[in-house]
Amino acid sequence: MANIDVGKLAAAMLRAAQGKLQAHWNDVRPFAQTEMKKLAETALQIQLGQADGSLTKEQAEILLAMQANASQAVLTALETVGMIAAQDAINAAIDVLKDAVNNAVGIAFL
Amino acid sequence: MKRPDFYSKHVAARIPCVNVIAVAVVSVLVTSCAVVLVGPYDEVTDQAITELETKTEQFLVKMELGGGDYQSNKSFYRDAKASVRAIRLRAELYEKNEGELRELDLLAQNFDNLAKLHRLGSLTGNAGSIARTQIETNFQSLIRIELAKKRSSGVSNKTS
Repeated sequence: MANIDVGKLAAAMLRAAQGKLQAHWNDVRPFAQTEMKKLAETALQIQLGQADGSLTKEQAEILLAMQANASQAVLTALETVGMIAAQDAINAAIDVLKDAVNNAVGIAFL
Repeated sequence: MKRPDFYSKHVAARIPCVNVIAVAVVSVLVTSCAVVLVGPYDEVTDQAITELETKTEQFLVKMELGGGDYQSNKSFYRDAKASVRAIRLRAELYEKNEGELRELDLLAQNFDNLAKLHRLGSLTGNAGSIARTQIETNFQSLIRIELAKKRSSGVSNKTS
């Protein structure tokens, strides 16, 4: 049975995990930036609308409730995508470990 | 205490074999199951969300241009809520799907808020424009999760 190089294996596992995290982050970053900006702009629109009379008090209250709801939706999406990224990162690292063990044993053991 | 001869001859000879078994057992425990933190991608759910989003956009554009009142358009809210419920029922079938379920609940609540706003007057002008942005954010958040699940499904299949 060939010896496993722990240092090399750990580095390879880290690279595999990092690749997955980076891929998800590249996907989710533009969404996070756009949505946060949109939410901030909408809050200002509600404030200005109430000030200039284009929105009634009742309308502004409902729109603020919708704003709070939409903000929660963005945060929930970021949290869930973060969990998916963590899941993929762990599984990618496990794949590297599996390959290393199989190579060391000399057969497709795992 | 001196060990008997049979120990050094037989048991000690088996130690490399014991090491191999130990490594194998630990490896199997570590690698035999893929880690699942979030429920899997479901194409039917993804399509249903996209269909509902299209219907909602069509409705909001129609309201923005035509300024229809709530009474003549209340069937939209009934149908939209029914669609969210149907999507939720399917999403409930999967374990660890809390994020998606939470998104669907938030979407249903914002459909209720939109209906309340519509009862106060037509969905035109500033009110209609802001409400549309909020509902679109709900959909964008849901779709973002679906896209991440879709991307992830390749990795999950490989390790399972």
